[in-house]
Amino acid sequence: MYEYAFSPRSIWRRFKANRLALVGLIIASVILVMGLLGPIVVPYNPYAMDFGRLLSPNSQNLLGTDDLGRDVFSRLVLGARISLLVGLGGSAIATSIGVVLGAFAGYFRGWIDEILMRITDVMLVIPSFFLIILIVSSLRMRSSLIIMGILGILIWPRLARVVRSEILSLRERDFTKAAKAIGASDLRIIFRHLLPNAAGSILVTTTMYAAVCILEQSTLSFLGLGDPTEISWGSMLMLGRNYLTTAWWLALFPGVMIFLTVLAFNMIGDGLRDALDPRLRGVK
Amino acid sequence: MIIRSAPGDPVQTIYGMAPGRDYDPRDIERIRTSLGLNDPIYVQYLRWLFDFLRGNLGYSFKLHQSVASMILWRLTNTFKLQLSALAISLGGAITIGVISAVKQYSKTDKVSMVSVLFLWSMPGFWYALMMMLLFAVELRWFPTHGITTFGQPYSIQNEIWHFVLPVFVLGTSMIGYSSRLVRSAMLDVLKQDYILTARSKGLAEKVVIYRHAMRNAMLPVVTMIGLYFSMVFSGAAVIETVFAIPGIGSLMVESSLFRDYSVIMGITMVVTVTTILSLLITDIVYSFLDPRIRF
Repeated sequence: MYEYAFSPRSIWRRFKANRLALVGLIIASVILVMGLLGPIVVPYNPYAMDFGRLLSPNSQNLLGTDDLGRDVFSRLVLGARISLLVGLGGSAIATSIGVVLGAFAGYFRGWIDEILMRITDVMLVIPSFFLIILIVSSLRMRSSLIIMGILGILIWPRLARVVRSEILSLRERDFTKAAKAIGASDLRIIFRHLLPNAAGSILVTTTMYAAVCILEQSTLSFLGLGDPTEISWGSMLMLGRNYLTTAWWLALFPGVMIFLTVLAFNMIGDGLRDALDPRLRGVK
Repeated sequence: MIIRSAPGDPVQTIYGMAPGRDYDPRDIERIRTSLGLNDPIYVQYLRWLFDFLRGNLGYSFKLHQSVASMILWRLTNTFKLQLSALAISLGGAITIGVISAVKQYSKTDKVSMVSVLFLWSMPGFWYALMMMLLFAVELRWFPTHGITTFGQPYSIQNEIWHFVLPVFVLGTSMIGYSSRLVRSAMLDVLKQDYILTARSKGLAEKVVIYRHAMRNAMLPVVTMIGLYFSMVFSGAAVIETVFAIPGIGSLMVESSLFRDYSVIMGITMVVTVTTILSLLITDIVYSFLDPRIRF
């Protein structure tokens, strides 16, 4: 049986008591709904150039229109999809790599540990955003899925370290010995007994990763390194930059959306960590 | 925790890829041959390596300038920007971090941690744009771009005036991460036995905090500064692009958009060297600060 440090219910209770974390959860849910229902709820076709150019926010176009006469609000709602896709997808990829490598390094130790941790060290040292710019700019086709994959492949090392140190201490506990005694295989011990106990800290890092991926994806699009065919908050901002003096709403609102999304994920991550380990309040 | 770098490895990882990558097949064959791009990748790499050892970084394909001189000039701009920003963020982070750690769970602590979380979540480029909108476009206190006014003779005041806004933006945006780090380091130290000893000796609270606690809490901060230098260029890419400052970061973005390989290679080299140097220095400083650490 699993030996949870805290029961999920008690974690939820503490999470709920944290007002910031709840706010984060609410914001994230709203944005998630936006992403899921986007095409159904938007008032106008985000691609259609139906309106006057550069209209300031008014009753018809809540957040104004852009330089081609498209409704900014509709585009913002649809932009949520890319951010969420890259954020959640990228962090899922990074989490799977980090968890598996970290768990193997911590459980088997010896040369496996040595090799995996040296790779991790090297990855941690490389300025990842620089490498991302290099790789992405060399791509012939910059689809968001590829960017998501690259982000996921590059950011896992921190998690691998976290998981490794958790597993290192968990593998010495009695329940691991018990599992071994009844003849459980290594893989079974890792995935059924050890990792569920490390789930908390993994989850915290995963939420933070989502925030990182969303931030980096929007930065890439802002620098003109995103998928040019898709609507994303970063590329809307890039456009807004050109009209900073004449149309402030073009730069303001996409940024607010990125900010809120990243903030929400960070708040959830913070709340989760506090709920899991009250000793660590506010620790990075 | 000390991050041991494996020198050479990042170099090879990046270099092994950079020369072989993304040679545009539509390039005219003649130009390719004259630039030596038709040779096998390892020949190109070896040639580049020997040139590099002789101090020759090659010429930019696009701008027809020597890469070394381009990088050098832009490097000074980047360092001016980054070092002043680092000073601001360190000052801010240590102040905020120490105060909120000493008064843990107080109103001050809560307010500053929430605002710091806000700063941390702010996308750097958007923050930069908004500050630009407010101070440069609306209030017209500072210029929007560049490092000197075009067509005016050079003066120090003019340059500083151009740097104020980007430095402020970069500096404050980094406070988010670092002040959380300072706070947690301080909290850690304050729980130690020697702090209890110092207090029970009847030392003034100020002495306990500044003499005993802060000194020990600075260790993670040193690590952070070291890591900061390895990330300097990534952060710079965005701020420099927004404020149109000719620095390494913006050069990187431009040259990767134009596939200017020799420039990319040169910058990669600079970045790698800086990264390894900063990690090395961090480790050395670390062992000075904490004699328990031996290598």
